[in-house]
Amino acid sequence: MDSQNRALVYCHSCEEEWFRDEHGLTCPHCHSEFTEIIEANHDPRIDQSIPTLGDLPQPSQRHPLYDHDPWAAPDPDEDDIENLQFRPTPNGFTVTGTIHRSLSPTGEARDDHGQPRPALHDLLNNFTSMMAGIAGPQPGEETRSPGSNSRSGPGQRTPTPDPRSPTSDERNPLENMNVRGGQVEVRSGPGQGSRFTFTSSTQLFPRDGNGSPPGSPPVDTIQNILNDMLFGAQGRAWGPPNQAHPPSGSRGPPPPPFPLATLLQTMLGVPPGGVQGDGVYTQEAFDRIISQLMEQNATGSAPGPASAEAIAAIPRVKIDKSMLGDSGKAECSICMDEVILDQEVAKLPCTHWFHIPCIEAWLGEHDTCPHCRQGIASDSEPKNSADASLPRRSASATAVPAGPSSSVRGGRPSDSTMPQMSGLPGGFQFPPPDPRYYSQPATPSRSSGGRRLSSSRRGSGGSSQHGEGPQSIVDRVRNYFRGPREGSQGE
Amino acid sequence: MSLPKRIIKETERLMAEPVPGISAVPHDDNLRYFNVTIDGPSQSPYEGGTFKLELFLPEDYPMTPPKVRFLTKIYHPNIDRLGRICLDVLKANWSPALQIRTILLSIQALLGAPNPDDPLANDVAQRWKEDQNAAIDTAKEWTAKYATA
Repeated sequence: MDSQNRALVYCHSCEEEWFRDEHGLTCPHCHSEFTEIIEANHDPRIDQSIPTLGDLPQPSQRHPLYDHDPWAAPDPDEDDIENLQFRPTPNGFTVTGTIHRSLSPTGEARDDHGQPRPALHDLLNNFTSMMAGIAGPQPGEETRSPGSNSRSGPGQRTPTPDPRSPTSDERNPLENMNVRGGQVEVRSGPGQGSRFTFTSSTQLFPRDGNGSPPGSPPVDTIQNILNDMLFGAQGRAWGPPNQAHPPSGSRGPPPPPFPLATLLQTMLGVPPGGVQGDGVYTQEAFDRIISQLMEQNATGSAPGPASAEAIAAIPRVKIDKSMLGDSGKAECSICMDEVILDQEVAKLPCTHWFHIPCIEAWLGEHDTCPHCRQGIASDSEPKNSADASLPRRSASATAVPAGPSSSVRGGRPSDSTMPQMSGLPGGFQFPPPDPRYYSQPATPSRSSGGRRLSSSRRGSGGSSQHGEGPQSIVDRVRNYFRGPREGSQGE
Repeated sequence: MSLPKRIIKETERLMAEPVPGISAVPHDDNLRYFNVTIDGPSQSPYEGGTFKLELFLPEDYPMTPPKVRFLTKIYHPNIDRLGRICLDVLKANWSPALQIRTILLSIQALLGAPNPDDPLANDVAQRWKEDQNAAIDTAKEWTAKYATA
């Protein structure tokens, strides 16, 4: 053909090609002078680092990419592998592949120890790992491989002090070399020093659903696998099975964490835990959040704590006979321990009394009397009481007379039940804690502790003797609750 | 942590003087955990049913209310699908003067007086308001289906 005889010029800058008789030696495309005439035995378009096959056909003139091999690299293509054989063995199958490659000058391919240079080494590694991939996980121990006469040990890739096995000669120093658990036999081709034959064998085993194949790493339980998938495999090695559990001799870099969990969640739009920001994606997550809100809100509308000063200002009284009631027994309704005569207790402005540590613990969280819910911070106004509770309280305050509170105060558990079911339709409410709803003129909101002390009467029952004014209103309210039930505290 | 005296006393009294229609038995392994049954109040849609609940006394009981939950499925506007109960004395209106006994009585009373205006189970409450008779029929059905042995 005509084109066969025309000189083809190749531009190293832009990889353009043209006929010399048409455009000369300067690239018509990029005007670079870094060009080269393509010759039959010297094609600049082929990477010089790649061993060229001796019988490589003349590059076609029909298309510049005619023999372009995007995978051209020092790893063997399938086409390079010959004699890929599956041979049944007692334990399964042996896969044998052979690769023939012509390599550039013999002497340079080896170092002083006769070991191949890195390029060749990579080639071997790629080949053997590919072979290993055929059979899946490989035993890390050479002793598992039947018929293996290889040296064991993790130092496969380092120059071994004694590279010569009895069967090896000067030209096949790599015989029986192990690379990543695979068996490699390297023989130099007869005659030509530049041809190597690599043979890699690997074992296939019949699939056994009940157990892991011999030589393969232990199989994870399905629970572990699912856990890893769903809850993330932090620091866990994922990847091809022969890398997931690297054999002891493996020198590869640690496999990156498998992003399956994240990937799945992203793909499905299900965030971890079914929660993403304010959104929930599963019923369970929703229930969890509702529960959490309910927990948080459980005491959210409850009155806040009483101040330390107010708690400290609670008058201490000694139990007298009237406080023990008819039965002569009474107990602190917080700890349910009995009180004895002359024991000192804390008496709230509402006249309910409790063990001092008991009521301090409660008031430190909520400024309410456990019995009647009146706060101690102020005589006239429950301090810190949540506004939301006020309407309910006001409704109950007007609706419920003092009667039910007596049963609460009486301490009989069964008696005290019904009045405490506030919030029930038609049910009873706690006795009104807020004197505001009984006394129209608003009393000064805050009374000092001193005044409260002075105004808290110890045992003086009557209220009528007090004069007009804010104080008398407070007293009136107190007596409203206290008067007829004085001494019925506890049981 | 040892069991506070109050819990022991409450348990003893619950055993000594049980409330009619209510039983609360502490778990063998955890004396703060009670297996509870409440009989449906008469003249309520839950009459004839025996409802199982669980009750747990938290660490700081009685400063915090007990945690109570229905285990038996129940159709009630103030009790949701998971058995959580909307009852003020279990939440903001808890008081340390209340007890297991009084709480359980409150729950029993709640069965007798559903309050669809303060719902926890919205769909149930909606139906309760729109068609009370149908809702009550459903409650009866559920009682027969889930709360009778």
